[in-house]
Amino acid sequence: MSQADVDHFPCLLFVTHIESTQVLSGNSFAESFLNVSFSELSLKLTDILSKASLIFYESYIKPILLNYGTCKEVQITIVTKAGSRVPAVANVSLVAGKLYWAMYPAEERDKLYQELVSARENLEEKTEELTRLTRLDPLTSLLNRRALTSDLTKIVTFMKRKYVPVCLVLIDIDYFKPINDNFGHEYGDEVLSKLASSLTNVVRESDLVARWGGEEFVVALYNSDLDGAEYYCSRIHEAVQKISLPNSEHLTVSIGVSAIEPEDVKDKDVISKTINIADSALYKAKNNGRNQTQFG
Amino acid sequence: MYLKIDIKKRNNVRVIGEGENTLVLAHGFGCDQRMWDYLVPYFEKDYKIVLFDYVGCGQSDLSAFNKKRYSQLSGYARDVEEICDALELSNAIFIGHSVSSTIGMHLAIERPDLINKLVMVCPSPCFLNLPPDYMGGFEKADLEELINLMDKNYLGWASYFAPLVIGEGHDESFKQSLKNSFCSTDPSYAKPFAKATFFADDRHLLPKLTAPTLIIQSQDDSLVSIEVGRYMHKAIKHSVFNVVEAKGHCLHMTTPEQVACAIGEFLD
Repeated sequence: MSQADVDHFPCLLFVTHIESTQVLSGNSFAESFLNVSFSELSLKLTDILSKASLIFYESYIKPILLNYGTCKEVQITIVTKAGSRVPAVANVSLVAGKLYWAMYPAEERDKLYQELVSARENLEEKTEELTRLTRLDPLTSLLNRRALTSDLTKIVTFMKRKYVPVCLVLIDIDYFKPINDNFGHEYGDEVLSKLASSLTNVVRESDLVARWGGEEFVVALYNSDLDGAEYYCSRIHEAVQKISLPNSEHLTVSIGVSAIEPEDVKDKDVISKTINIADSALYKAKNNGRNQTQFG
Repeated sequence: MYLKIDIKKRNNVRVIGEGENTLVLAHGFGCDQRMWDYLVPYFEKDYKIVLFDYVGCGQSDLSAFNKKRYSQLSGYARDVEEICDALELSNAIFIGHSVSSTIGMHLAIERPDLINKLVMVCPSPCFLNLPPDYMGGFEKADLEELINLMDKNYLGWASYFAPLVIGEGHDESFKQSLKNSFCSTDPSYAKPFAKATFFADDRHLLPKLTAPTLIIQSQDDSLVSIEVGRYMHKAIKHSVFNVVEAKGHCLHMTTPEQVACAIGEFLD
């Protein structure tokens, strides 16, 4: 094939040195597209590609070429001498220290890919938002029952490999029905929200806080034994007392606590069993005059 | 959170070679431990060599990826820390390429017991231009374009519509194709690493580094200028600055003998 034939191919063909990145030769289609002359000895790959493409070249294209000798269908951005930026797709081969580039401008393909990238980002955002919404209780923005159970299941799976003490704290508002009846359901909702933020403030970031249903909440204390849980429960009682009601009384809660013991971890119903024990303790706290914590 | 055996599996840890001293080789952004294949033969007779893939790269356990942790270089440093602890290493020699030099610096400052000496191959503490004091070489827009190129090449390289399925939707054959790829641009893992790498500014850590440090640079590196190397040399107390007679950013792959020679001199 004559040089004239090579020059007529409607794609950029050129050769660069792998180490110095110097452009050694190329066809005239490439020269006129880039508006350069390959006889200029100083011309380098860095003069032809965008800076982002250079990072991509050093981080992906070059290692692939060194390991496999060829890199196919890679998209980069050409920068012409006049400064215009053109998306292009290249196939590159490494032969005896030289890189053989076959590149074609790909503006239409780039548009399609941009649409795909945007569509994916859009989907990701929506999925993230939907996932968030399915996990949260709409009123309090705490985890809902399903999300807590799912997160606890993951923690229990981990505990099977390496035990970490975890306590489940079941919290129920005292005399919630009269609050709703006397001050209205909207006010009741407000109390639930206030309690939710008090709970979130008291516990640590590694703990889980969820609305279990109605006026019942669950806190999962990670890496806490019953002594640790006692401390957190006293802080919960303290924080809750700061929520005052319109009749100048203060909000109180009853709490039942239960620990997930090492021997329970393998039990497949360990979460519901632990919750049940906490529930019995809560029942005891209610029967014992409310505004207190009982341990199961 | 992880047991020793899990860490080795998680980071695809390989230990080869023999010797009293240990080299920990940390790959840079883009590829995996296979980029060290060229350098390893120079050291495996005299050193124990630890190779690994950061979570999200190479054949690491992708299920261990946590976007929050791996959006910062300190998260990657945690990987190395956990690997060293799992292997019960101390006083190791850390060799990092490019961004891994900075990751090694994080670790050497936080856990001086683990890292005795540091070798930085083509390092940069900050890739951004922050005039007038510092020119890392890149503008924010360049790095945003990089992220976009990664996205587009992922579409071009992977099975076409697989990346549209996100979260846990990846099927097994798709996961396998990722595992086989040397340099993966899967946006779920590579984008946080790219952002952590190219948006980082860890210049403030340089004066805190006390371990003897070798900075290896090439004469012409399109990602890191000689000035950046000089800047680091000036800021790191016990540093040696070695500009080897070679060009490019992947010196340990293109001219491993020069890099091995520079490291050998430094370690002797």
